[in-house]
Amino acid sequence: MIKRRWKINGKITQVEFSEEMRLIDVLRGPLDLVGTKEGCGEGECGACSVIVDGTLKLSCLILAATLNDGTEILTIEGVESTPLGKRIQKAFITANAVQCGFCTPGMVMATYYLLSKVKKPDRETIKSMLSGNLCRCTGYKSIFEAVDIATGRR
Amino acid sequence: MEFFSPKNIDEFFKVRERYPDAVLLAGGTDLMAQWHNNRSTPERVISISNLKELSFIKEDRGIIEIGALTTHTEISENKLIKKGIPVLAYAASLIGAPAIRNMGTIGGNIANASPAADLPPVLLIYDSSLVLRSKTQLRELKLYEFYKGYKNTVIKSDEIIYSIKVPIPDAVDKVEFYKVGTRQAQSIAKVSLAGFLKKEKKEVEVVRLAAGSVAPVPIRLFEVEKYITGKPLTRSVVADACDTLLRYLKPISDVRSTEEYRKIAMKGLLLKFLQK
Amino acid sequence: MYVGKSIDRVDGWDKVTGKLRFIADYKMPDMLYGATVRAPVAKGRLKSIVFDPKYDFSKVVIVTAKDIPGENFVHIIKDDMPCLVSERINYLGEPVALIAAKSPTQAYEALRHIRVEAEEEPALIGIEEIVRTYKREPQNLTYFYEPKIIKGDLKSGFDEASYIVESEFYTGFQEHLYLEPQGILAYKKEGKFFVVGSLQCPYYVRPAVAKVLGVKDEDVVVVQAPIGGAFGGKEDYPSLLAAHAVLLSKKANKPVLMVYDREEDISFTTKRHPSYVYHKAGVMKDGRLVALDSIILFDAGAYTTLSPVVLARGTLHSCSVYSIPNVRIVAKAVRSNVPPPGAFRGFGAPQTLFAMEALIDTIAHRLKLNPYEVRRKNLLKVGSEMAFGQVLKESVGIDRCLDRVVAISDFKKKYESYKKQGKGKDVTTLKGIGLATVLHGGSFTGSGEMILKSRGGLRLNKDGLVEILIANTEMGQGVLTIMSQIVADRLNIPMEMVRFPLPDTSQVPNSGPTVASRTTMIVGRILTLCCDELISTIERHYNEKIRIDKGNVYLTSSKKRLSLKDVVKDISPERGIYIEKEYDFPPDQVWDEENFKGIAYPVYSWGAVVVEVEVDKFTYTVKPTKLYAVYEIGKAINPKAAIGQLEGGMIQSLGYGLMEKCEVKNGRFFQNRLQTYIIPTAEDIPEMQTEILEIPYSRGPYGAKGIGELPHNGVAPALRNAVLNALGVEINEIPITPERIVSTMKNRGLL
Repeated sequence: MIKRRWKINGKITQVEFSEEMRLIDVLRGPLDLVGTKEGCGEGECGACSVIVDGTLKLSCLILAATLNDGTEILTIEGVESTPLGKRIQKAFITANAVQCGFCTPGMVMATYYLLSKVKKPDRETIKSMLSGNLCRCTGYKSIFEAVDIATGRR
Repeated sequence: MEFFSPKNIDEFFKVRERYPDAVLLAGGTDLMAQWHNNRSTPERVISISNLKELSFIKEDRGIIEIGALTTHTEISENKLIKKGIPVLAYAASLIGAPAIRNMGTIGGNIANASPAADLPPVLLIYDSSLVLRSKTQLRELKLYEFYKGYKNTVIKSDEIIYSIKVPIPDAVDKVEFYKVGTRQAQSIAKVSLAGFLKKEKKEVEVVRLAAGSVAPVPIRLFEVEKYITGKPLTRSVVADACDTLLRYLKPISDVRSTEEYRKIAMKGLLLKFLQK
Repeated sequence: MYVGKSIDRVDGWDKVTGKLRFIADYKMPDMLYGATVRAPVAKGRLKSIVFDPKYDFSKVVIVTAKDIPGENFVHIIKDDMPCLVSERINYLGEPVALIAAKSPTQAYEALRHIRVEAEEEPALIGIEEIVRTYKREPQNLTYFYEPKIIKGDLKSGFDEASYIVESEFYTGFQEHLYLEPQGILAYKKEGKFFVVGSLQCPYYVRPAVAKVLGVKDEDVVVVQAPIGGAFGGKEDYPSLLAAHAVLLSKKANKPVLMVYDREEDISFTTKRHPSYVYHKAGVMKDGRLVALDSIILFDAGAYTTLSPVVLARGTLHSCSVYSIPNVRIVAKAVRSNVPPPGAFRGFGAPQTLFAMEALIDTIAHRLKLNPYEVRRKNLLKVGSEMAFGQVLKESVGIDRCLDRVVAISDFKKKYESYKKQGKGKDVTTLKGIGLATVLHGGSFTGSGEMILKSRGGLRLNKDGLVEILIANTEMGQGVLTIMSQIVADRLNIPMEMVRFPLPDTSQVPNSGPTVASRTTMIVGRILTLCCDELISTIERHYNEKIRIDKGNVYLTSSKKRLSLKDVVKDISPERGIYIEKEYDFPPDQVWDEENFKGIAYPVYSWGAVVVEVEVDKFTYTVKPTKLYAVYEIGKAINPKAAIGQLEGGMIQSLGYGLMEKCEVKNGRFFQNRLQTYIIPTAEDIPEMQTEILEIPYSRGPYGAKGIGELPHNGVAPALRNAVLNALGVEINEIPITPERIVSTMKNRGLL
């Protein structure tokens, strides 16, 4: 068993898990943070996106044991309480960028990451930075419009 | 599973000596997906992500040295690389998608030895070398000497990829990388071509060509290079270069593409590179 | 008030904050995880299931066909699909046994220690093989359904024609690729079997599970969990998965959760039917169609499942939006040895519309006419008679869609100019523009709605809130919001007073499945009938006319004002006021199934699509750059939501036409992971411009018709037509990958 002490959504959390567990398993299992979704398990859909030490990563490809004590993790559950996160979530609703909702947590995380790096990204940049998040429902255009609303470009 | 996470390179070699068969885990973008698809995990895993000594980008006397644990995002954004060997930054920006680029490493991209990897063709035409490190030694070899066969390299079990050395070209006419994927983003290359061209007046002085996904390993197209060196790139020379290429290229048909297409696309990419 | 407005979706906040729990997020104490043991051959006889003696199977629970208490069939249309193989194997991966364990890892570990031994027999796999057999020895094929359409006099039609144009078209499998894989949770509570899961049709799952268990329907309760995308892929497959989960739960006496991982989901669940269409068209000089002789073959896989209805719809849509006087269409759903294909957005129409819309451009190309003109010459209108005898009575907007899309895309000029693009040396990409016009019949084919007798309910409860009680499921398309808008408007109450609980078969009547673009049109109408009946009920009680405003009831004669809560207290304080109405199927909507003639669908929605592409001359990769679409849908109850469905469906159709290669090799799906099954990413999206036109349908709620499937019908052929414009090459198979372009050109000596 592995023991770690991470800061999850701003809160210091003790976790214990077995060696072969992925970060997604620890989040969705013992921590019951089920907002992070598993769509493929091989890093192709982006539904499991989280932010680790300020960087967007795929929790299905992270062996949990590789994250040291003190690692900071932001999941969809923690985004709501940030001003940027709230703005993004409101914009997604206004733009109808949510249909079935399964890709949405990952899409919001990727948008959060993008907007924390680039204040007012153009359409090319938005498409490129969201290219790792698959959506089968919306056709993506409303998602681009949501990002524009969140940045005030729209 | 037994898990080890050495904190520095000396600790790493100690653990490695005890467990020469353990799997080395860097960014995880290749291995974790493989383990998921096999529905099983290895018996022993040594994570090398704490070895900060392997994460660097520096320049020394005209050679850029990139530590094995440098991520694709870091490579695509680095000023030294964008100035001196810009096509490497470009190729790194084409790998997977943003999160994959944040996690994947250049060392992993090379060590995983997939023929479809995006960095090796570019590293090959920049005439790169690998530095392999064991507990007591460093050895350097050309990248094209590293690959033995499909997903098989010359690395020994007591070695780790330490860094990649890329000489900065002083003058060059054209350096390009073309990747043909299954879609515009997040795709494995069906074919790829990297080219480096320096002309002396109208004739080709130096040319290096490398291809991905058309052989069991990333390859230099030595025969084509030999053919066009010293010649002007007229329409007939270019046509003959393509014929030379198709004569010995034996790509396969697989889940992504067909032998027939790969040949035609490679010819197209070569034409694209050699034409004005 | 609400109808016609782009109201924010009512379930948006829970989705955007990650609070909404999908089935894989459900946890119950003592819950076990299920896995499936599958057949290793595509056709054969099961010899034995071999359990490794070195593995301790007491840790897990095993279920085989012998454990099935009821019937070993999963009821869909016919009862020919086993729940678990007992002797005959008909597709590779067919379920043979089930495992439940304390964790997925343990279940997969047990799975590795079980071997299925089978005697292999020669199998029929692949649409190409089906077509070859049909041409040489059709008697060796088995057909699940063989509809035929005959209209007019084919021979005289061909005699009159100036040209004959013949072509064969192929479409491949397509995987739904809902982001949320299939999942079902089963448990027993208070003597009943509970099934909770990602499923479109609670009332399909209930009888299927009851039959397998050998119990009454009422002893099975099916509850919908939030659905992370479905597109038809969760219409019939969940019945099989639910039966599996329930069998495990019954034997283990514990809750069992079965969630497929992506590879298993792609490998063994339903797909779009592959198709072959042969068209022989008689055409006049000006492009008018005078005769059409067609053969349609659908690869229907190992069991009947939904194939007859899919083929029926495909056949009925195969003349697209054209009025053709002399027609013969012979169609067959062919049995083969692949996992049975099933429902997928469009349900047969994308396949046949691809063939017809491609044929039109082939005709234009060969006769040197403009594709717009050819379409205009043949377009259906009010009063037209369709090939199967239906005369269009109302709400036909195809001419307006076509003219409008051609105007906003500048189609006519671009088509001519791109045709003239030189094979110039300096040109690295070739541009192309393509057009397609399509339709989609709303609600069940033929007598389907009459047989369904859908019933919907409304309850005004003790709190003065109005509950929508229907079995229709939200899967992203917006039904929770749309129905709330309709009910709020009809009753003139604020939307905040409307509730729409997750469908539960013990709580709601059977309003029919959430499929066939029927929900708004049919069930929305039922809800308006319920609203009207609720108002009548209140008026009968007080014996005077009422007016509802802002949640208050005004008695117009006695001039009294009551809250809705007061009204419930007066009329039915304990149980609230419950209204249930059945769909009022119009008696003049007559369909003759035996002769395949009559009114196939009460009304059609229409669309016209233009796609622009750039084809790379070096690599033959096709890049869609622009997409223009105009759809006529009766009434957009929520324009924002409607646009969302239209854009989403079009990108799915784009994937279908361009990149979603889905091959079967030796009975196994080759592209069975997300790394290899390629769907569009954010970077693959062209610029899109979508417009909505409205010609109200007299029987639709506020004039609304169906829209869910329509957008998946036109982009693939428009894309194909754009490639034809760019390269001058008729490609008749989708997806149009560069590999396909190259191999087609090589076969025709063009490369």
